[in-house]
Amino acid sequence: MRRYIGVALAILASGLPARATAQALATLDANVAGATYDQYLPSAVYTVAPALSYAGDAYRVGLDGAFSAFQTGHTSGVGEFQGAVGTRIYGPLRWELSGDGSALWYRANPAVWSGVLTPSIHADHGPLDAWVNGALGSTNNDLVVGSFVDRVGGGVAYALPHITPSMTVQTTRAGIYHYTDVEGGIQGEVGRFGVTSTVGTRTGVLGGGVATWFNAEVRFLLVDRVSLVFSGGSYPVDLVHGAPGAHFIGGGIRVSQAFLTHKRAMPAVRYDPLNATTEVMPDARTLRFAAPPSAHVELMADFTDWKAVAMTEVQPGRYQITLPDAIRSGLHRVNIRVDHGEWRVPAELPSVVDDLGGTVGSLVVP
Amino acid sequence: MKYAVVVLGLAVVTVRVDAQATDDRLRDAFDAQTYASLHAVVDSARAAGLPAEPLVDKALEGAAKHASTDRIVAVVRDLSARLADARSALGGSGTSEELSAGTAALRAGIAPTTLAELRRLRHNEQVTIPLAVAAELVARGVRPDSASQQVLRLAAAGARDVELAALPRSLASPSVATAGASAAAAAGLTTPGPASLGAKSGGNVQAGKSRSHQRP
Repeated sequence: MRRYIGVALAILASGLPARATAQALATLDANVAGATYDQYLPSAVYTVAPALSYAGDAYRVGLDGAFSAFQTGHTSGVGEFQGAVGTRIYGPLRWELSGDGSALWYRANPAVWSGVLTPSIHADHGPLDAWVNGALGSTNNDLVVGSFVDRVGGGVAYALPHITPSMTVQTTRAGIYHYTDVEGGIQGEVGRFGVTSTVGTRTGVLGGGVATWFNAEVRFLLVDRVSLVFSGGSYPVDLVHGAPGAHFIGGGIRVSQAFLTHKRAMPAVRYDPLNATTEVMPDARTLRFAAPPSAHVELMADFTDWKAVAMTEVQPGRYQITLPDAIRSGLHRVNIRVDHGEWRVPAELPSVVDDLGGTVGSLVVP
Repeated sequence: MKYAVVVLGLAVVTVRVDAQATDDRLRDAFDAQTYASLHAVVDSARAAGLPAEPLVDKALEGAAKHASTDRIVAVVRDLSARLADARSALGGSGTSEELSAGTAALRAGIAPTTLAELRRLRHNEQVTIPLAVAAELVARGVRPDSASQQVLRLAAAGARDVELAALPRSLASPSVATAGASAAAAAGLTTPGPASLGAKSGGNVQAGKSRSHQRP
């Protein structure tokens, strides 16, 4: 089995542009659930769901599907392709264009096909990510009477330690129907446990489904690559993809495997002697930081025994210090001060609390 | 046998010289009462096999920043406990640099299991830089679980320290098209690449909307 997965990934990799490294991830879910779908009787559902994704420098593609067998003996399936490209524009801004196409079928009914393209602009600053997006697409879902799909929305997410809350608002028009979803979500990981949860409400056309919903998934990493997954709750009708809403509870197992499918030696970091993009020069003795020009700038750090050492201005606004010995490989802490002011974090370094009531810059020296 | 005794003797002398240097630095920076408190913490740590240098370093940082002596002693004592936690997570051993980086990683929210896994993946190499990079990624706004995954992924792929160290850099400046940018993208960080496939936001995958439920 593993051999076939490897071969499939190699074929996938061969068709994609060469790059420094690329990561492919394969997962396989197998689970049992009890579900009550809108306008259907309760039923047991047995599902196998494989997924494959491939991440490149500026793009990701994914392929996933699910095959379900129901208590009644009926079966259904869904297959979906997702892709996204994007790059940074300037500062915290980046653009993305994502798209997905899916096919869903149940028994001998005609399959529901859909495809949606979603351009978005993200402002990604530290732990905060905010975005706005629009979308255009098409569906042949008979329920919506028409095929045109458009969507406008936005959201915000904030990454805290262990947990990331998020909020989204999406207004969707599918055929003649129009509805707005407001959703709040939480993703968290603590040790071997992971949780994903969503609560939402819909105004406008409900399509026979619920107006409010809540669902949660709890994961427990059993052994390397194998997790137990429990989920339950409700979700609304998806008029674009043709999926009914449901209340459900279930559990199963998830097996995942990451593959480094293409690896090439990464380029060495380049140092410009005077306009360095890094603070530590190759000799590991010389450091440079930015500060206001023509100032008296001092540095203190663990490698100076927290003694203040004056820096020399080598260019307007660029200050340098050369230490007697090379800095040891590891994680170091640095502060600078200008004209005998407060000790502060150099602009180039991330700030962490120093436990002493202030902050300090974190510097990794390889 | 004679050589063994000589080597052992030299080792004892070296340890004592180091300890003396440590003591001198603390004695120079603090009053007698604070020195006694710090000396007790450092001695206990040393007796427990923990490195003294990170503790002395933290005490000196406190003195340089004019923190209150009570606070300095409390912070150093807390750091000693966290060094022990890091050593435990790393399988009961580690260099001074590894334990310092491990402490920073744990403090940043990196799970102890990540430390253990890095030790397993790099059993013949130091884990200082992977741990330092994980801590720095969190400091730059990456989620701890995501930072752990990326560092573990690169470590499993055999990335060298210099490649790992370039990873956080790519988050600082989008114009830096160096190793870090490639490494970050390869590791699946949200910043350089598209976020829409299962990343932290704007994703197409709705939580709980499992593929396990289509139609009964």
